[in-house]
Amino acid sequence: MMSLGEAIGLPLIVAGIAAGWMLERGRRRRAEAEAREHEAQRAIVNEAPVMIWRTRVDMGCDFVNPGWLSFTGRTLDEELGNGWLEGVHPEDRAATFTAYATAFDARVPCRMEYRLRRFDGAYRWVLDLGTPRFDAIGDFAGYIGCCFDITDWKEAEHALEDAHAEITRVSRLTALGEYAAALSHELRQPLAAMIMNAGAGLSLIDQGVRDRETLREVFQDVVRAGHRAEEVISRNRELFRHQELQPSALDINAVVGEVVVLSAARLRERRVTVETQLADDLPIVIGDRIELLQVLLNLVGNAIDAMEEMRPSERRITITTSRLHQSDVVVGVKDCGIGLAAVDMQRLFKLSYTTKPAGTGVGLSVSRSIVHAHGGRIWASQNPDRGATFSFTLPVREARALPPESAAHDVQGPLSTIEGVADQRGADERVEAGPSSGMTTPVHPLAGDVATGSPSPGGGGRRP
Amino acid sequence: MSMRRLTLLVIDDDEDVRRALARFLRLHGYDVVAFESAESWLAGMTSVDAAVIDINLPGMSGRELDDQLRRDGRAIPAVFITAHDEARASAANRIVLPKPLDTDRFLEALQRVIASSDGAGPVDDAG
Repeated sequence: MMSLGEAIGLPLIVAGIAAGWMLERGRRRRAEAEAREHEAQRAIVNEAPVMIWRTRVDMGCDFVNPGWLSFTGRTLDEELGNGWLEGVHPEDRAATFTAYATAFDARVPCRMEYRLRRFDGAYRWVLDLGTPRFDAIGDFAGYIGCCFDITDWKEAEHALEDAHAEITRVSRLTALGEYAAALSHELRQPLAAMIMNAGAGLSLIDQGVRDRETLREVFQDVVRAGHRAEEVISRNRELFRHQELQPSALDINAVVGEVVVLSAARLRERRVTVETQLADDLPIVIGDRIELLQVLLNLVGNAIDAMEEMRPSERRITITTSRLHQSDVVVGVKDCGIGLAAVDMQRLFKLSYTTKPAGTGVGLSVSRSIVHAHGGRIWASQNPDRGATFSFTLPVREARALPPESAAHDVQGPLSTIEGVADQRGADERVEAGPSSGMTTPVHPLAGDVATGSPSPGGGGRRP
Repeated sequence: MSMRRLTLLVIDDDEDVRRALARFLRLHGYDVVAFESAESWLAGMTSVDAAVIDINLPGMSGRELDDQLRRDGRAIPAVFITAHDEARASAANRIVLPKPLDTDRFLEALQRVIASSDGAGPVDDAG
């Protein structure tokens, strides 16, 4: 017979055991859950298609994940400590380590791009992002980070840069080609006169030179034509001298004068009259003469095309220069053409946008790149009456030590008239393509020199 | 070449070229009347036997002058000249010579258009 105490105690014991068992079961379940969670996290680290690393407080590596090892094809032991640096391209090693160490000392996140040797020996560009880590009580414990293979992005980026540079180069060549065509036309006239006169001289000699005075005139004209040809060449000597882009001090009015001369044949063929309204006393701007000619030739070419449908008597282009807010010189090319109604203003200056049946959509995009590289802006506005005006600014600069290349360049087109300032401001619709538009711009030799507010196309190679 | 001296019309807006052409042609036995534009000749319509016309003239072009004369039945045998590469291609059915002119080819071409124009009567009698 059990005692009362025993009678009461037994269920208590049973209950106690049951409770203990249940507690133990809960604890075990939690531990199992934690273990499963831990395992799942380990699996993430091990199986994720990224390369993960971890370092200690002494900067040495104490872990890389299988993703890293399968990329490099090395063992964990080889990668530990500073071993991982052996896989970094020798040219990138010092910079990579410095970037890591600098961030490490400051306990701030680091971002590195370097070439890492893959298992097959090929170096691949990786983006490596690291961040400091802290233990349970908040003490700094080292860094943890991950890497991605960004070689394909890099290559695409380079291909894009190359394509941009190529487009700019080709368009420059096209402009030079136009320039050369205008030049050869100018040279053919005095050459024609020389050859005709020489032919006349030969005839006179064949006829026994009875008329010495005429023979004298013939030779005088030959000499005259020779001088004229020489003038054409010396006026364009910079074209032959400059192969490289060269920023120099420019009188923008002189550049406009050259554009009028260079476009003269095309304007005449298309029955377009051109007028210039150039402001006196404009300050000198710094720029590449040929590139600015390229921009203006392009704008004039567009203006001509825009007036295709107009009657010849209505086809008129006005090129203006003026000063804007002390800080800028503004150049405008105004036409009386179809205007901008059918134009997608958001895309107007973007590459490959065109409204012409045979257009390439390169001209305005390249013009914008050039203007931006000069630190200026370019925009289009609908004229209040008819047609459109394309304008661009060039910042006024101190001439500093630059040679006054074309400052005194004196080219007067036969059609140019110098009048007062024309103020083109106040037009209703305009789209602006300022330097802040965030578009990719080809790397430009002028970009470093001249611009505040011009885009700096990060770190890429210089254009050939 | 015909028995009498033929009169040639020269139209070129380049003064040096115009004067050299006129002198050269005179020394080769032609009478020459020279103008700097199609319009200035049209104003007087001096009677001529053949013409040497620059294609790229300010105002009315050489081609347009030729078209107009043909339309009016007053076509003149003509040699066209140009300093533009593209203008040469655009003037089909006409004899177009590039500037600077090769003097022998130029004279040959001139004689050929005169000969082919059947009698080479003055422009007032044509059509």
